[in-house]
Parts: sequence; C-alpha cells; structure tokens
Amino acid sequence: MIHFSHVYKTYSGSVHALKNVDLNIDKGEFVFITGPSGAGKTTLFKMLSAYDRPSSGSVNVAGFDLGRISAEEVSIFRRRIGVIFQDFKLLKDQTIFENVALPLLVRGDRPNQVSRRVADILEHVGLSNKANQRPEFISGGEQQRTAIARALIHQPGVLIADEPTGNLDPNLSEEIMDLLERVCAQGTTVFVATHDLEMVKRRKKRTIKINNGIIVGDSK
Amino acid sequence: MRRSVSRITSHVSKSWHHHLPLQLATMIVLIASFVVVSGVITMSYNLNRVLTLWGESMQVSVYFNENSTEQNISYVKKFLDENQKVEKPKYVTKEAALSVFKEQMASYAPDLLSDKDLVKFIPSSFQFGLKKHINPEEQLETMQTLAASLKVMGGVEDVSYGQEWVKSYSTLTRVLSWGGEFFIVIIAISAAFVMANSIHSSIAQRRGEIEVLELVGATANYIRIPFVCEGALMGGVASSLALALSYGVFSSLKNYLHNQIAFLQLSSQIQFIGMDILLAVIIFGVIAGALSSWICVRHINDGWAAIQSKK
Repeated sequence: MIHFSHVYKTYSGSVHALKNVDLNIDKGEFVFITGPSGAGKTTLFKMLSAYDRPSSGSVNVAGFDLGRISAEEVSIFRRRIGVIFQDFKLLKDQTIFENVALPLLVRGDRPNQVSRRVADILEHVGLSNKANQRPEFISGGEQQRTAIARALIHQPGVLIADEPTGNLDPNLSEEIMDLLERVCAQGTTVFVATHDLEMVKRRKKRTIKINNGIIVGDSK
Repeated sequence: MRRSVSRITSHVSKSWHHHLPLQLATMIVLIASFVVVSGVITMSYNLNRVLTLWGESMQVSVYFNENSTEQNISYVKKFLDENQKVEKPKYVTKEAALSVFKEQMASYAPDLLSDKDLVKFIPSSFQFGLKKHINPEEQLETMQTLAASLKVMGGVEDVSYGQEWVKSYSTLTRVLSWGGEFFIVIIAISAAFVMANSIHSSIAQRRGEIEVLELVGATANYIRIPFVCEGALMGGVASSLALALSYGVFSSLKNYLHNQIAFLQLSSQIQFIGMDILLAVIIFGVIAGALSSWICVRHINDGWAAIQSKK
C-alpha cells in the first residue's frame, strides 16, 4: 500500500530532511511514526500525501508514483486518500456540513447522496448538532473531528494524519485515537505522525522511529 | 449545469460576504481604472467629431480666367461630377459672386459697390466640398491631388482651398488621431494591469481556500472556474458602473461647456460615447476581469499550493 525506496528530501541550504528512507506499510495496518521535533515526521507525512515531492528515490502510495505524479494526477490521488492536519485546515467561511462535504462535492457526487453521507459521518463523529455552525464557533476537539470526518467521508484506502492530537487535551486525544482505530478496523491503512510517546505506548501498534531524517527503529 | 451555476453563485456571494472590505477596495480600484479609460475614450470620440465637422466645412474654389469658354467650364463640371470624392460641385457665375460680394461688403465699402466695372474683376468659379467618407487625415492629400488636376485645365486661373489652414488641420487630426489611439491603448493596458494586480491581491488573500480545495482533490477547473467567473463579473460590473459614473460627469460638463463655448456652436456635436463603444468597454471589462483572475489563480493553483505557501 505504501512503499518508500531510498527516499531523500533536501531543502534549500542543504538541509537534509530525509536520508535514504526505506519503508513498507501493508493494507489495513495502523502505524505510528514518532520522533522529536525536526526529526522528519512532517516531511515524511508530506511525501506520503503528495504535498511535496522527494528529491530522489521513489514514493509509491496506493499505486501512484508520487515522485513523478503530474498536477492532473495529484487531484485523482488525493481523492483516494484522507489527510488530517494538526491545524485542521477547515474553510472558515463554510459550515461544518459544507467542510465535510467538500471531498464528495469536488468529485461531483449528487446533492442528495452528499447530504445523506455527510449526515451519517457527522453522526459517527458526534457532530450532528453542529452541522450548520462555522468552524470558529466550535471547540478545537470538534474542529479536529470535523477534519477527520472530511478525511473519511469518501472512504479512502489510506488515512494519513499529522499530529492529529497535537492541539487537543488528553481526553479528546484518546477519543480521536479511538476513532482512528475504528477506521483502521474497517480496512483503512492509518498512518499517524506524533510525538506523544505515552499515547503510542498505550496503543501498542507498529511504531517507526525517525531521527535526523533517518529511520532508527521499526517495532511491529 | 444547475449545480455549477449554484456553486459559482454561492462562491461569489460568500466571497463578498466574508471578504467585503477587500472586495470593495478591489471594486473601487477597478471602477477608477474604467472611469479613466471611458473618460479618455469620450474625449477622443468628441475631438474626432469636432474635427470631422470642421473638415466637412472645408471648401475648394476653382476660379476661371477672363478667357475661359463654355467648353472649359463644361469640361471642369464633367470632371467634378464624375469624381467620387467630390461632393455637390456648384457653379457660381460672375453675377452671383458679385451679388454675394455686394451683400457682404455693403456696410464696409458703399462706394466700391457703385463701381460698374467691378464685375470684371470678380471671376466665375466652381465651389465644392469633399465627400463625408473621406477621413480628416486624407483630406489634405485629396485636395492637393484635385487642385493639381484642376489647375492644368483650360480656362482655370487658380484653385484655392485655404492651403495653410487645411495643412494645419490635417497635421492636427493626424497627431490627435495617432496620439489618441496610443493614449487609449496605454490607458487600457494600464487599467488591465491595475485590474490584474487588484484581483491578484484579492485571490492571494484566499490562498488558504485554494490550498484546502487542492488538498481534498479538487481539479484545476473546479477551483479556477468560480474565481474566473467572479473576476468576469467584477470586471463587467466595474466597467458598467464606471460608464454610468462617466456619463453623470459628462452630462454635468456638457451643460457647463454649452455655456462656455456657445460661440463655437459645437455643443450639438459633443456627445457621450456611442452604444457600440459602450458595449466594447463592458466586454473589455468582462474579458480583462476573467483573464486576470485566470492568470492569478493559475499561478497559485498548480496542484502544489500547499508546498509553495510554506517556502
């Protein structure tokens, strides 16, 4: 499902964010990637979700070669994955319902299908009563759940999350992680970048450790 | 189709609702640009009308000498009647010319008018103007050619068309015509740049929205079309409002000019730009708005907006 081979990422000024990364993640796996700040977690997350290209090596996700993907193919690839950001990336001028509906609207689903599906997923994440509110009027946890609902609504094969609990309190963090585990149990590959080691220990999942852009540990 | 229209309408209305100060500032800049464009076009249009009017009043006189015969006069008449550029040639006999002369000079030189030999000194002539389809820029050359042909004909003493005045008029029309066109092109290009710049600022402030749409898998067309329609709408509305504003200013100025230059009898010639030019300005606004938006949004929406914003 996810395959990295000899991946390097170098930014201007010869900053090596990733060095010779080799990685294989199978369909339906739940994987944590941990490491200190600046270790390369976010860079790895960007490579996985086609928000950046590797400087060399190959990144293959869901059958797409992300090092060579064209601008036209990028939109097709992004419809096959779900991405959750630490800063949520919600549209402030749209309601929770509209934010969650975006992935279905961009692929041209019928309005009645969209409405039904959004209602289902909002109920699943416990936000049915917030559907008509705008993001600025709901809490951080609710915003993250909105972002998760948006990432899941089109039933992606891969769910990639960058510090999904970074802005949340411990209770809300556990709630979000439970939700992600339920998604994984339904067959979705889940990849979570986090620096919350306590939470990683409690969850007992495959954990990849990265430091200075190099994978230093992979415990299954 | 209905969904697309509804999405675009919703995009535009939300854009105005949530970015009102930015959209208003953009609209004001666009209106100001179009007011300048329509002002320059109105000036140029009216200047051209006045110059055309002056050109129409120019006359050529072909004077016959003492020895001219009926045959000479008939030959010149035939030449003028057959020439496609000559408008209504009129033969003025010695007697008719004398009558007009007496009428004009009666109060200045009453003694001169009683001179019975006066008729000997006043020649018969043909007088004509040029057809209206001849451009002001071509009038001098046409008159020079006609004069050269007429001067060598039998019985013709002289051909007069106010050479110095026509030369000055011709130079003025050429300079104003070229200068006006050049100025309109410069102003239009400048307006397009101002529009592009102001729409670019408006779109750049909404980069986050484009980023999110890219991130959820929206295609380039899905992202760009609402922005392009919004740009076209802004260009169309701004140009229409600018024309309405220009018309208001023009009407006030026209009343003022009517009183100030009444002696020139030009006020009936001063008009606001015609419907064809009005439509052209609005179409230019729509196209420039759409094009500016498309260029700006394409610059951001290349599939990798999220990376670029972090660089």
